[in-house]
Amino acid sequence: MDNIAAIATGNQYSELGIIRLSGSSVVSALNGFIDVVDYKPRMYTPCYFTLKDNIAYPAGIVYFKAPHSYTGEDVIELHLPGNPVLLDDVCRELFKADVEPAQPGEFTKRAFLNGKMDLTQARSVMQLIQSSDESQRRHALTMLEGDTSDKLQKIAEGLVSVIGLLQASLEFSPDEIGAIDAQEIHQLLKNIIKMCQETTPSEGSQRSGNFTRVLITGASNTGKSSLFNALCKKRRSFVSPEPHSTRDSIEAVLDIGSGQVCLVDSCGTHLADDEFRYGLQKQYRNLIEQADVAIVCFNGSTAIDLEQINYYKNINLPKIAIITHRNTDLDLDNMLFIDLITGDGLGALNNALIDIVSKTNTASLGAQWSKSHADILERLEQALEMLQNDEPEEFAVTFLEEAKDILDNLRGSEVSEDILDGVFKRFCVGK
Amino acid sequence: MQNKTPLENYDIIVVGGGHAGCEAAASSARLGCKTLLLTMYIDLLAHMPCNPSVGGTARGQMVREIDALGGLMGKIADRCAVHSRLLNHTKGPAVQSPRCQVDRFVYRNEMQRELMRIDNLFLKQGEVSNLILEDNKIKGIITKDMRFYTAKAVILTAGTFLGGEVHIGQNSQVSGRAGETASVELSKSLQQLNLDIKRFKTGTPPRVTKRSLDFTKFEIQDADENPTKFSFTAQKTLVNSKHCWMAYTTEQTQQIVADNIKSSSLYGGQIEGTGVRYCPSFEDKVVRFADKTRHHIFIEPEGDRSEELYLNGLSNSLPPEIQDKMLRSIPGFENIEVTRYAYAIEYDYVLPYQLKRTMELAKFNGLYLAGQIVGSSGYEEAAAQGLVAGVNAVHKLQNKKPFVLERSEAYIGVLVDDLVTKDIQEPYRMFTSSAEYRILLRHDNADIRLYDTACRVGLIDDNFKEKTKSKIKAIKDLTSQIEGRWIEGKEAVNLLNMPKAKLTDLIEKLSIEKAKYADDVIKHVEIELKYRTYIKRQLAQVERNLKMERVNLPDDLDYDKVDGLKNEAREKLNKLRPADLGQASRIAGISPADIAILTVYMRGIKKLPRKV
Repeated sequence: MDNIAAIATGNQYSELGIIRLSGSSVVSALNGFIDVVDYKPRMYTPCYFTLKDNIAYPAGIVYFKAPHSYTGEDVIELHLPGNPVLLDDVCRELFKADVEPAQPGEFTKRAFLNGKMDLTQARSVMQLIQSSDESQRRHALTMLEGDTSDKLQKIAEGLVSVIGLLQASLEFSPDEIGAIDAQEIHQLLKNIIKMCQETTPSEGSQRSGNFTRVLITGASNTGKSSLFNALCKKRRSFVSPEPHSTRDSIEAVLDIGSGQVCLVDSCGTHLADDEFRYGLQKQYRNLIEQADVAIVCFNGSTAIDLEQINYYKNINLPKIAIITHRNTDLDLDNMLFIDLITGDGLGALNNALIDIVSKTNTASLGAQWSKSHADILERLEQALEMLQNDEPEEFAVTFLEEAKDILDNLRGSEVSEDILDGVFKRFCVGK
Repeated sequence: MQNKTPLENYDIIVVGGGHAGCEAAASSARLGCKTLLLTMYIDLLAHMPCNPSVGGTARGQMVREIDALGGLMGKIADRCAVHSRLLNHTKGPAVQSPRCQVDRFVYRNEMQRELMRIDNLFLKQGEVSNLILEDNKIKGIITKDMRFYTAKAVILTAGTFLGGEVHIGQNSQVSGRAGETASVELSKSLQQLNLDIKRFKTGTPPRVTKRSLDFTKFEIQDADENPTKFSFTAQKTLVNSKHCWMAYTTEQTQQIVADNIKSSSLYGGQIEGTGVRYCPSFEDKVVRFADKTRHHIFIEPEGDRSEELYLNGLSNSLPPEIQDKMLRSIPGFENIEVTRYAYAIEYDYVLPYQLKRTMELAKFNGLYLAGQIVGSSGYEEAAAQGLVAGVNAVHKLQNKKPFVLERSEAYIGVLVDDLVTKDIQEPYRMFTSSAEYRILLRHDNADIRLYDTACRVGLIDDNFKEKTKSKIKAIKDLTSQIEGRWIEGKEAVNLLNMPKAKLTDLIEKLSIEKAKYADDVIKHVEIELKYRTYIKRQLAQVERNLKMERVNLPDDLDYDKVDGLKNEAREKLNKLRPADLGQASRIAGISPADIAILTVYMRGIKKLPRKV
């Protein structure tokens, strides 16, 4: 199965929304959903798209037959009303059929692999893959923020211990480690399944997290809030010459022309030297973890110390440096000068944002998460059934390991608990 | 030194006569290369300095794979088995593993006999002091007594002898194994090559006399009535001539250890090497499992005619007087006579990421390493690597393709791939959980799944080939008689889905002539049909992943030039230099996005015009 799909038109309400599909059998994958069969390539064919609730939405499709398409494979553009909730639901249904969520940069990667792109473009393809992967991962974390992320952690830990118990019973004889209670394993697994069932993220949390998050940051008193206000074109943020006026972050949805972003005004970056400010720093770390783009403000009328410059250099996100009063000595990547009183330079900043945002597409994430969730649950339930039917444990372990892989992937590749570690902590074996 | 006239010229020299060395030397000689096996003491060829047993979970599968590929371990073990069990026989087919206690004296003897009968193979006593290399290519070796032998390839299988140091209590001495000298000069010679070398530690329990134990206090551990052989060609039926017993330590035993913990080498600061999570010493058990009131001990025979017994579970590095005291607190051990005290050993190992999957060092042409010297643990792991190194050294000399087993083909493939890919933090032991395709890698099907490979390698004889060929035919034949048949309105194969259902019942119901099929054929077909959905599912995964495995990454690929990779990924790839995309994807910290980028990059550089 090699069909992929993703929302191509970003995450906003608009007249039209497009889901793009690519793969060798996208035509048959769509068969159950639309009411037309013999559509011609490169023609717009109006149709109705039926969701599981039997409501038919007016839609249209444009079919590009391989190899005459962007990716070089069969490609279908599915045109639907531009409602993010609807597009997300459609993706969910597609992912239940013969379609996988597109990996970061995958359409472009396929285009390249199928010879649709010039070799000189390979470089940008590779950078696109990494930057969209990073932004997707950050979005996934935002989406799962708080409660859900804790629950996922618990599910992962539970899975590790169940797999560990089963593996211990396979690696070592009861003589060595004593008998392992099958009922205990069943119960643990049931608990995990229950936790997993309760972990479906609400529709609302997915929506608000889906905008590209642009964080305004910088040292104290560099004009972050003024910039925020200037961008929002009205006084949203309280501005004062005293340091640390902005103690909670403030967010606003901003239309940058090509789409919407979530603009976040943060507190200052100065190192903590007392409890109060330490609290602010912790909050700040959260903000930067969730951000996709950083705008770092510098006050060019005062001396800019090395600490501030290093801070900027170390930000591991697409970033823009904003100098609020002209200082020609500075030399930083992506540097823009803005006069906050006249508004000079704001247009250039907007263009820079459009450019960065065009490289991140996170619109299909909600549906993707829901697909992973269903995949995990399916494997857990299958494993439980097998264990209850007394089928060999090694088969059930395989399903649990698959569930763990999907979960690890969802939570980020760095978090992979060592299963055997748990086994050797609990069981005493050795010569 | 290089100007010295060589005493003799060989194709391949194997240094070390342990389990890795024996397999390496045998395979190299049998594949037509003039081979020298150089060992410090010929009477200790294939010695088992620790547990006198072969096989066990995952390791049993590996021994059968070695046998299916034409190696020696399974055959020799079958000749001297004294107590055999099929571990996990009540569990699923993928995790059943043969294990047997062997007579260690007969094992050594049989291996020596076997090796001395192989054409092209020459055994000599001697200790290597220097490796001779020119332009990073191996040319030969020099022994401590100044003999110079040339070779086109050298396989080092020095086990724990590199910088070996034995610890008992506060007493430490330089030694390769208890009572044997360490290989100090060779250690130095290797260090001069600027390899990444670290230290591991392991240990062995005490040996005691049989007459000093009170066997009425122990439980007997039964052997199987119909022992499973390792070798697919063995004729002789195995006989269980010996017993094993189980005993338990007491709270007093633990108290004695706890009171004297500072006098142990491990806790007294003598030992700096990394220990093993899966094989803690008895001191570790007492410290880490303080709440347990007792620990089990397996009492195992050292040999058919031996009066010594091995106390599995009591490995430690306490001073002799504490070992005596501790042992006497165990019921049945009141009058114990220790013949050899337990000890811990520290040794140097070469971090295996520096190897290719052929076991050749990436930086040094023709220099191969196998066994404990690269951080593995266990006779079976060592033997498997020895076989891989031996065959590959020959293949390189004969300009043949490298002999690399996939993870989906054999535990041996998993072993080698893990060694060269993973961050090895403790002696590497094979577990069934390390093999993601374990459903395919069963002990019972090793001959079938490795048949094509074994024929290509060329170490198996015609009889074995014929035997396997007809087995494969019989399996196909029997399967075809069952698939598509119906019984009382139900598809016959579906009747096998019930956990307790047996193929023999089905054969009867379908009036198939059972006598035509050997037991192992029926067993094989039963497993394959009963678990067909899971097997198919794994085969499909293998198929998907193989696409990635087959994209080779060139030796000289400069990852700094690959745009878009994360810095961490770049560093790891430059250090580990994976052979293909599949291996790259298994390196910790390499994300799917990094793999996608590499895919694009590889496609890109392939199409780039040659530099003028």
